[in-house]
Amino acid sequence: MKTSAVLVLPAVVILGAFFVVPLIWVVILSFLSSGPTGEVQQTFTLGNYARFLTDSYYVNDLLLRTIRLAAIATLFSVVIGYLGAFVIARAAPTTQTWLILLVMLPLWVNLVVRTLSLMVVLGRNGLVNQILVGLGISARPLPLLYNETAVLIGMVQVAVPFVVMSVFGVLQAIPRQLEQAAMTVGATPLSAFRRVTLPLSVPGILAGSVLAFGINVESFVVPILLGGGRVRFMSVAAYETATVSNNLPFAATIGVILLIVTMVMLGVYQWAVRSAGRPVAAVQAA
Amino acid sequence: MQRTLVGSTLWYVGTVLFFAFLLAPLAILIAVSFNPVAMVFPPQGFTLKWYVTILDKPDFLYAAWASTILGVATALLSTGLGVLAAIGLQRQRGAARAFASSLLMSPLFIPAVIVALALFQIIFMMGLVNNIYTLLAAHVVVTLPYPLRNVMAQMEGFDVRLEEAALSVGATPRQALWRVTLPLLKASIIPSLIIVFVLSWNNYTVSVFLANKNWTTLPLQLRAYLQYEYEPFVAAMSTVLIVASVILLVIVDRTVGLGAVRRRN
Repeated sequence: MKTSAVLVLPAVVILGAFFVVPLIWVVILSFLSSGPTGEVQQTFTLGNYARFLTDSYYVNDLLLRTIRLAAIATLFSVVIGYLGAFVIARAAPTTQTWLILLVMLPLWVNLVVRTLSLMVVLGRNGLVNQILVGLGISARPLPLLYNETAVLIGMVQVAVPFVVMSVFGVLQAIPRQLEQAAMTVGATPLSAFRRVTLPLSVPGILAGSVLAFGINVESFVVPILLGGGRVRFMSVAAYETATVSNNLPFAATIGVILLIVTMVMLGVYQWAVRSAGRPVAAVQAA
Repeated sequence: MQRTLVGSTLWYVGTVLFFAFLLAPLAILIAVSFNPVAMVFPPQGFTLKWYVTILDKPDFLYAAWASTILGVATALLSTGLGVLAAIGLQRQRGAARAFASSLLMSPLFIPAVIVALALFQIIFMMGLVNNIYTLLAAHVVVTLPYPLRNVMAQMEGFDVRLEEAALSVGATPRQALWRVTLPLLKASIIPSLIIVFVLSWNNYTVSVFLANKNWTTLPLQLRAYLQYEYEPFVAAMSTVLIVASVILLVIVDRTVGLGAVRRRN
């Protein structure tokens, strides 16, 4: 064997043993049934999938809710993240370094800590409620925590820095002269942005949205803490089915369905990149 | 862009709102940690007692120790494997390279909960016990893509002739690796070590499946505590974690620059 292959081997072996084999096992397990005391029975069945897909609780309250909230959070993350990236890209170089540091800071802070910080802000006596009541906008504190809105806010907060970094990279690469050229031939700043900068930043928007959706759809800490057990998510359901209900095959089924959602989303992304890629390349070449 | 008075006011208001959205909750959490009374902002006084309390919580100290050991071990192992694999992949062409690199990057695209679930189930089936090694294996698997990508990105501009030169003047392949290749890759190895440590130190989803009473990490301990206690102690504990993160972030920025780290996304 070549020496270079030997160097790759340890990583491949570790990943094979602790990732590929377990993953294959999860897929197999999702087609097995679970006995009354939680033991796995070695008989092939489609029962787990049938149970999931015929129960409106699993389909609507779990799968579709996860996808819906992840999609809404992605939309907000992309809009907010784009604005942030745009502001940073237009800042002076020294300011830029600081702003990027500030955007990246949350990524380094523990997710449990970040989610806890939102609990403090959104709680019954939290800052948001104090402001709402203090200004007389609301007569009494609103229930901002332990519901879908809280989970959405949490997911947006988690995903925004990733969107900023994706979009910022692309915005940096767009020559400012293009926008200026549009304005010299009579475009207003707004239409120059809309017709030049925005279309050119589509690859960054796509990359940011796929990252944001991927992070949101597998959310675990955020729905647990900000949803307070009321907002059920696929990841949480898989965890509870495996550890609390001790039904390993059904937990595997939930995991595989989540995996399929992720893969479909990645496929759509690949397709979007291919179809969006050409016009951008054409403009850049021109 | 032309800036009218209204336009530039809007611009600054927007910028402030954007950063407030990202960072104000953390600032408020820090402020709350000095509140002697309850988890409420603004604080009704100033105290450091919750920070002193940390020293009286052996569970937290032990979890911090466990997290550190796990983080360091994951950083060394994951970066080591990633660096070796990147160097190896660099010298390969064609289908084998494409297959190996997409295999090694694939944990990035698989939800972490599924990786954790898979390992949990295998361990359960084989009747093994969750311990530091299973936790370590899981952390290595989910972090491996980061050092691999960092080092591979740096290798794109790597001049293989430097290695060949070392070999031609009589260095053994091992000497060439240790004295030429690895030092040249330092700019991607050091940030990789830190990123992997931070990812491991902060990990919750994978750890919660595989941890047990003897190996509870800091995020798990914090979350467990939050279930029945909600007092400024958790804010103080969180503040310590935030400060530690800021210090690491600044160290990376000052030593290797954040540009190297930014590639992780």
